Amino acid sequence: MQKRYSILKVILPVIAILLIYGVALGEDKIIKMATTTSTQASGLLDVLLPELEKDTGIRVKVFAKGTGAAIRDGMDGNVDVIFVHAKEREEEFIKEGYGTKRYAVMHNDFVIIGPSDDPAGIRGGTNAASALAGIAKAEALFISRGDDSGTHTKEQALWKITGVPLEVRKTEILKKGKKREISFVFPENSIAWYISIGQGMGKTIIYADEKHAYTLSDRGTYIKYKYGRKESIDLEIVYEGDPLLNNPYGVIPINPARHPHVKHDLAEKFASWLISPKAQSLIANYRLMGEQLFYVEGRR
Amino acid sequence: MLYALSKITRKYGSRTVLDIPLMEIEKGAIYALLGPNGAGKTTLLNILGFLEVPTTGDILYSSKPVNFSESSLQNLRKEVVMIDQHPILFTSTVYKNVEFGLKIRRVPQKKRGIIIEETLDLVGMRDFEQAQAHRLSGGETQRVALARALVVSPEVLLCDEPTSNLDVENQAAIINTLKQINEQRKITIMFTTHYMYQVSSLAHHTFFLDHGKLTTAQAEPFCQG
Amino acid sequence: MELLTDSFISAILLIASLDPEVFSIVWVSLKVSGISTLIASLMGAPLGFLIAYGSFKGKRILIVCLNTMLALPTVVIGLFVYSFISRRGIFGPFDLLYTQKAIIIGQVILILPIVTTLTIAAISRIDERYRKTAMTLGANRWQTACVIFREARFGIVAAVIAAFGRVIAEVGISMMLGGNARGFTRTMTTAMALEYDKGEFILAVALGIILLVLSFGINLIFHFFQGRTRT
Repeated sequence: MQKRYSILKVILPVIAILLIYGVALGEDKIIKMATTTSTQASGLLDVLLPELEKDTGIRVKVFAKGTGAAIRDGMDGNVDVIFVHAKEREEEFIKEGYGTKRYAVMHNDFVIIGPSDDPAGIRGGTNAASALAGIAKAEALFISRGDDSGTHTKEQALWKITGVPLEVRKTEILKKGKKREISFVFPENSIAWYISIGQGMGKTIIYADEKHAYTLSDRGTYIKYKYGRKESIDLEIVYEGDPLLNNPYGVIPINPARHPHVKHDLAEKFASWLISPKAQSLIANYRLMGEQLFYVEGRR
Repeated sequence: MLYALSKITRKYGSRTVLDIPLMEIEKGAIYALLGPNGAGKTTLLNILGFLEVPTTGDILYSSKPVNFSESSLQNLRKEVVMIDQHPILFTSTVYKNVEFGLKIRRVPQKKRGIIIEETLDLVGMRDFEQAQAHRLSGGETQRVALARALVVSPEVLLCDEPTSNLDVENQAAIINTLKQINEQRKITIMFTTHYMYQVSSLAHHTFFLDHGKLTTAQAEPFCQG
Repeated sequence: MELLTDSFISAILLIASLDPEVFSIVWVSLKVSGISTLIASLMGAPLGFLIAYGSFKGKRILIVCLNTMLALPTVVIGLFVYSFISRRGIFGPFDLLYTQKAIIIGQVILILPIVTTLTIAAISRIDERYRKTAMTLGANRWQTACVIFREARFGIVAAVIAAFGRVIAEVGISMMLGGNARGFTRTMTTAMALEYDKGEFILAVALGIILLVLSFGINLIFHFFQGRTRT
């Protein structure tokens, strides 16, 4: 028995120390952030977050998901801040009171990528919409994210201005007792060439590469898959440069009025730091495989 | 002679469970096989039933030497049927159980029906034709097992304790059936038992087995009580 | 609770609206899982029988290996098959990746050990006397095997049901090898994963409810089928 007590005497203080340390850690400056897989895949956060900790002591736990799920995490108060790229939905998010303010941090751009032999002949087109229209006309294979992500949202917006006849798919669900419709659009009668796979950007690029198909991608993920992997992909950029292909990123702290438990102060601090001159220059100077990925917006 | 066994032994590992220098079985007779538990009675029946192969020795069956290859044993099994001490019936109807041996012998459907009904009549189980076999009592199970063996018109019937765990009525019924089929169909029967009165009322000959050896073969039971 | 009630009503709405998309998803799921289960059963049940009845060197270690394979994660199977059938793999020219066939290949690998081990267990439970009885009544090896198989049928059907339950509910292989292409390889589980990614939890759970109802129905059919043959 005596021996057991002596063991307890050793273990208890250890547990106590661990507990105190744990609580202290909990009070430490840690915030949770939901972001998109493409943001995380770009590698930018790996540069920014250590600097953030150096400057402010704030540490960020990153949860990378689809845009929809990331926004959803914000709505449910699972995180303290969201960092996404779907401007319209972000504005709606704030309008509905889930977030306090959108900080415009940076933008990058989308590119249309496809097989190097460009079967639809869209290289050197005049704008993004005509490029897509060319794919539709040639009925060349096109892979759509189809996951309600920022990229998918952009793709649908582009199709709408191509003049290609579109089909709308609606699904009715019940939300908070009220009927609500979820819908998305895609080219009409496109079953043979338009494949909607509902997966992340990286998977979509691989899918397109496997099938020799076109797709819309953000530049960062494309560069990562083209140059950053042992097994490169054959896809090339076949269209770029339309201002409509801009992809603005925003950071939104979650509204403490809705979710009192969120660490709003830290989230605000984090967002302000991102638009500080130091962070902005870090972003502008970030290079992936020698290519600039992000462009800063200028103050606010 | 139907069977002639010479220098038969059966070993499980290093343990010899059967050691029979000579044994002869006559066609058309009823034999009782007696002996204490573990004497090797079931092993002997298995060998006679061609279900088990002796470790050494030879068997003549119908005056022909038995080749212990699986295919030739399989042919011999068509003439010899063994009924277990606790027979197990297939999870099906009584009819289908009895039908099994006939199906395997490719007996035409119509003929099967006639034989099955006849045989079920013989064992008094005609009314249970469509009953589920696993719902039968011990006595009923034993009778169906007997019918299942008889439909294939075997030359030899080997019964391991055919009446153990049965009530008096069922015991008598089984004994009578065995007697009847031996007289009418000339089926050679060998059975093991613990009941002496069965030996005297049923068997023409008796074998005693002890520690795997035949002690003596004579018509008189070794004890009456 | 709201999520559940909303999802439940949404599930009913989805079914009531005869939504062709939902039907396509359900159909792909049932078809792919059905074929996988059929192939795995046709291979696994005889294999299990041979292992249970055979006596050969390494039998025990083989059973241990099969049991270990029950723990094979779908991601590993997915990656393994992927490396063979991707455009750069050995079977690349067959253009199998992102097809229903690819899912079936992966799923068969997933459930073959399930069918096999459960068949071994079912056969091993069968009384030795059945074999002896069939043999003494003149059955050859094949006929004896049929008798044992027949006696083990409930156990084998249970193995098949377990395998079907595993594939209809798995998501890793369907996602990696099927690619979740709408109308082609989108199954109930990949659709659920997608709706989760989109943050549409209600739709995800609604699909889950449909899946549960379907497998309940399938199990019910099997149950009645078994009950009927038993009595």
